[in-house]
Amino acid sequence: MAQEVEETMKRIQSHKGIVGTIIVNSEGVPIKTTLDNTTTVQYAGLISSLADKARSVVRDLDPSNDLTFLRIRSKKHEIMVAPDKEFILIVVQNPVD
Amino acid sequence: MFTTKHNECVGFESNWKVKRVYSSTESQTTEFAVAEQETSTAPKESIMIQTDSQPPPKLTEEVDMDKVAGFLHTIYPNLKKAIDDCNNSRAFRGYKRQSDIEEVECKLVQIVNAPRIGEEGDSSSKKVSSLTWNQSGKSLAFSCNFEHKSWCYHQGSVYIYTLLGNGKLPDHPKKTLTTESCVVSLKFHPIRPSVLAGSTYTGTVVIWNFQNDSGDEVIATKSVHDEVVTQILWTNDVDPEKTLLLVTTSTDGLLKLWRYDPNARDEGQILSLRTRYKVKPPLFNNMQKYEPDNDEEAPLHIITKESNGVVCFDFSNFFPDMFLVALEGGYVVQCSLLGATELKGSTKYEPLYDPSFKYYEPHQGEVISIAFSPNRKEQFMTYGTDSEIRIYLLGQEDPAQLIFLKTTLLDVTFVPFEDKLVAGCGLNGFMEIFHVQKATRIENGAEIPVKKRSVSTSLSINAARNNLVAIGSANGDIQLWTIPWSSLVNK
Repeated sequence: MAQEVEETMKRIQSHKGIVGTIIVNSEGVPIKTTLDNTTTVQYAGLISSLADKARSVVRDLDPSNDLTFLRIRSKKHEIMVAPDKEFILIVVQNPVD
Repeated sequence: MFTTKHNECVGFESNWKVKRVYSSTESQTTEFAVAEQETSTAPKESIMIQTDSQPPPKLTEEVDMDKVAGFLHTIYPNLKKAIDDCNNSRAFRGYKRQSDIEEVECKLVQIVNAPRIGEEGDSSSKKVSSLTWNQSGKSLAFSCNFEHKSWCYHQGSVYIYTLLGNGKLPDHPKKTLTTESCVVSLKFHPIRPSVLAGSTYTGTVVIWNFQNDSGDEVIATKSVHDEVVTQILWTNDVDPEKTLLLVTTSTDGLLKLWRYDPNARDEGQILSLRTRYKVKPPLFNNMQKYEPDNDEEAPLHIITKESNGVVCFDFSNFFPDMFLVALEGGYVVQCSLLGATELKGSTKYEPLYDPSFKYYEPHQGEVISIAFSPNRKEQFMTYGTDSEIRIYLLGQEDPAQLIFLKTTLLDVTFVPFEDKLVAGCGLNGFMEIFHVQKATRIENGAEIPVKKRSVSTSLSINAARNNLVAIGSANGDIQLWTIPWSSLVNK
């Protein structure tokens, strides 16, 4: 199974413009990453708390709704966050244009 | 002299101990007072600081890999779609926050003079005929030519400049390419930034690779039309493989599609004919435009001329089979690659079709520019010698918007990512910008800095840095401008 995880990570990484991929558990602890340690820890902590906040916003607005995907566009990057019950997948991409 | 005299003895009281008497006197000076006051100049607070770097948390967290694999398996399709969306999205292209826009005025960055053409001697008649940036936005190619009254006997020149690190062009071209006759139109390959196609007055198309290691830049030369090739364009075919095509048009009335295969063994096969198209002018419009007096016969050219030359054209980015053609006489025709009908004279190797699909209200003069909107799929623009910029909608024969100009422009184009702006240049010698919705000219400040102004003949907006615009002039020089499009929209 670990191999399957590695392969999927590699597949994600092979897409155009992908800078890095991080898998974070529900406590905000990174469990898989393609980035360096410092960046990973920073992204994991900040993005997981942002994802939690975004999820609570969505749920507060409509209790029957839930957050499925979060995209953050910055000047330099686009950060894609796919939250789930137990894990959060964070993908950092360089926009093409 | 000596006498004896007796004196009484005199005794002296001993003065051995003298009693001294001191009297103390006090002097009162001004009063001296000291007041002690406590002042705290810098409040001190004790803060504990972690100076040693914390060891990063170990990533070997106890994880159930089955769950992670399942999570990734579920999420991957959606993520892939999101990545593709992000890569293909044009939503943010050219987008800048209002607070990021610092430049609010058009700035002339540089003027580059094209090298003199040796053999002709007279460089004053040399004008920039075509101007194009490559897809990476780093290289600029332009051609210079001369006025022609009949056939062209000049040697054509194409100059390639590459932007320096400071965003300026060097004084001398990186490469100078020559052709057998004057160059009319230039277009860079849509993917390979060093491949350039050019068309000439004598009906030839030349393709160069100016980074060719072998030294010979010419990839292919082909005679494609009997008359002057008015415009060339790269586009993708409608087939599933999306073969790259080179489209050429000429005053001989034909639009031809050429398959481009750089790997072909024979040089002659690098460009192979796919289809010929003959766009006929609408008969009804022709009759309408010519209104003879009672018994006067129609002029010979109206009776005999079967087709009008193609002046300019454009292919839609949104509908792969759709293209627009402007014919001599001011006609504007919407054409389709898929809905074309076969014409007499068509052969297996040289198929000939009529692609006409819809006619739009013609210009009173010749059409100079025709272009699909890069932002709105149903919108296109034409500009004619009647000094009208017309904005059409595909489904509507009459123009949806008309912009009347006081001057004559020689090149007009849509501004990428700014669907409300159209830019052009012409006899005034500076760039003019128009608001499509308001149908007004926008004051942009580009009129002021150039002292020796000459007619501007062509204009090209950098594909990567949209605010960088190159303008070619009739005296053969290139002006490089930075234009803050976003701030001009709201002006």
